[in-house]
Amino acid sequence: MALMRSARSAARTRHAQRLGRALSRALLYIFVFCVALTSLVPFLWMLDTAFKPGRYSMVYPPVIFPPGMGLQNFREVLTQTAQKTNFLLYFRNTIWYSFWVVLGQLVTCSLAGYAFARLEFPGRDRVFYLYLGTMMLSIWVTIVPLFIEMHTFGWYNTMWCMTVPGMFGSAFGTFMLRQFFMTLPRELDDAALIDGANRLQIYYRIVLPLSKSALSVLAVFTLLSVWNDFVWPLIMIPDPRLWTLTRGLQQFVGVYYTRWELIMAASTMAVVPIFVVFFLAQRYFVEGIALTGLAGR
Amino acid sequence: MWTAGRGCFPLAPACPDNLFMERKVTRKPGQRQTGLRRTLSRTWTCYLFIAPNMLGVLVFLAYPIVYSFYVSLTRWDFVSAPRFVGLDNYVRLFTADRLFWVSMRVTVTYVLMYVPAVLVAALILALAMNQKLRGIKFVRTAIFVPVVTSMVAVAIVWVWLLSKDFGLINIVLRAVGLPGVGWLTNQKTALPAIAAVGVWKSMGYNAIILFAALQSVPRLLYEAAEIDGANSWHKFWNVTIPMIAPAIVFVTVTSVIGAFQVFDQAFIMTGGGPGDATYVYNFYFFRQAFGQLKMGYASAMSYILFLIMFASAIVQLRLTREAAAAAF
Repeated sequence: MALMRSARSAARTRHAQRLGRALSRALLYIFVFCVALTSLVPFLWMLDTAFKPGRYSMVYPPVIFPPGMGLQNFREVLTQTAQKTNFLLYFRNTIWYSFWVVLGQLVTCSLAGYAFARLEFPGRDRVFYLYLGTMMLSIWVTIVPLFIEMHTFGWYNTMWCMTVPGMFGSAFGTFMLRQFFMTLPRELDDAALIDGANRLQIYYRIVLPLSKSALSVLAVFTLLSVWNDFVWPLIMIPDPRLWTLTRGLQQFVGVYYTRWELIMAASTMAVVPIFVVFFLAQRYFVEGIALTGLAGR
Repeated sequence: MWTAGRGCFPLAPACPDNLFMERKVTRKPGQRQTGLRRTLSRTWTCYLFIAPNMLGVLVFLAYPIVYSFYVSLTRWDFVSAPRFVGLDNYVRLFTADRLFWVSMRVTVTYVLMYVPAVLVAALILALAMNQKLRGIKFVRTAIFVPVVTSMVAVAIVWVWLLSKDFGLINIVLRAVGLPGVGWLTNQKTALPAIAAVGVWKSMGYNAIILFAALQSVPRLLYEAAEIDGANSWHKFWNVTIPMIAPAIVFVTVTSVIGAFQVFDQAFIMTGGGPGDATYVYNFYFFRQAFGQLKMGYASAMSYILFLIMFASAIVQLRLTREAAAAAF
């Protein structure tokens, strides 16, 4: 009798436990999907406004799918070339700058990453950690002297200041590639050395082909940082013909500050390429952050 | 000599490992190289590998920082020659510049709002991601979309969302019967609003870092804790938190450093206003440096910011090390 009662109560507590677990799981689901929604809704609202005819962007209550949705706002943004807002040009500039910086970063960071991972030379680790320390320095600390330096070099307000300073490696990229190169088996290097290859040959014949994923991570991160950078172009290139998308977008808001449908169409054009890159290369983002987040360990 | 065994490439005792193999150093029999020369000739190819990066550091980082300190000791309008004034810029900033203190107060307030919020949000998200929920991949993608978007676009979209009459936020508030707020035009709400945008943008990034740390916690520890009768709350405080403490420190330090540099939101969303509610440090710096071309004064400001960020990073690392030492 007592045994039965205790068995029943045990079943009841088990039942309650299962119920509690299901409830907490449901709450977790709701929370997580609310957060996901919060992350996406602003962009959905941006898209909605961008595709709606202008007269619907300022009505209450809002109409999400009004008649006449289409590309008219985008067309208007792209044809407004008069008032310093030539988005096609900004696109071309941004892609051009990104190309050179990504190329430069891939070459310099992989060379240095290889040296720090594999070669041995006096002061290697000290140099490496000092170099890592430069990650702490922000652009705000060096922007005034760099502004002066760009004037001295004659690069201020030219495409050179948008490309060259970004091409000489970065502590972030070097660190990430070094971490990756260290996971490659050393025996490969040794075998190649025995076959008479020199270090440069090993680097581009063996290490680089094996590191496509890590190089993609770096390429994607670099592309992102150039594409999204705002402060540098804001300060270094006053000439609208050299502007990047972010700089042009910011100016656009100043000119059309009441035409929200146009502003949202312009914003959409600035962010959609990045979204495409992100969805194509999503795996690399998470990998890359996990790889560099290891700095915290 | 190129082909020597140890030194640059210890694993290749008898292999030629120079970049240009035909260039063999010949020397007379019996002649020996001195130690330093031998090391240098063996290693210069190694230095070639890191040369571009080091050149970049020298030209675009080291020299500017040193030069910046010199500039901070001058008065320079960028037209006439700089005039050396000693520590005058620093003295004026600390004693005679009301806006300096205003911007400092605003920025510290921003840091205090932003950092705890982003840390808690990222931690909760990371813990949720660590549960094996169905559809979590979608969530991971979703919270990452703001991370990859430029702050300029994000700020502009949020100006639209937060606008008083037709912004989505106020539409939702009105739908549930609350009065709308002019988020960015109200002195009280402007700074929390731009801090919220900052949190919204970067919580996904920090969540991924914490999530990676969570995944590396050995399951064994949880099982051991369960055997000792720990409930999930105990497990969280006594296993999870200590195990991911380094990642938490990393997220905190980088968030504090990032928060002190807040600029884009204030520049685009509020222009420092209303009043001086969002007049953040870098906004003031930007005006001094590139609005008024006060090179010396602005350099002094950037040096102060640098020291603040450096000091706060050191303090946090020290504190957490002490906490870790006390815990174990």
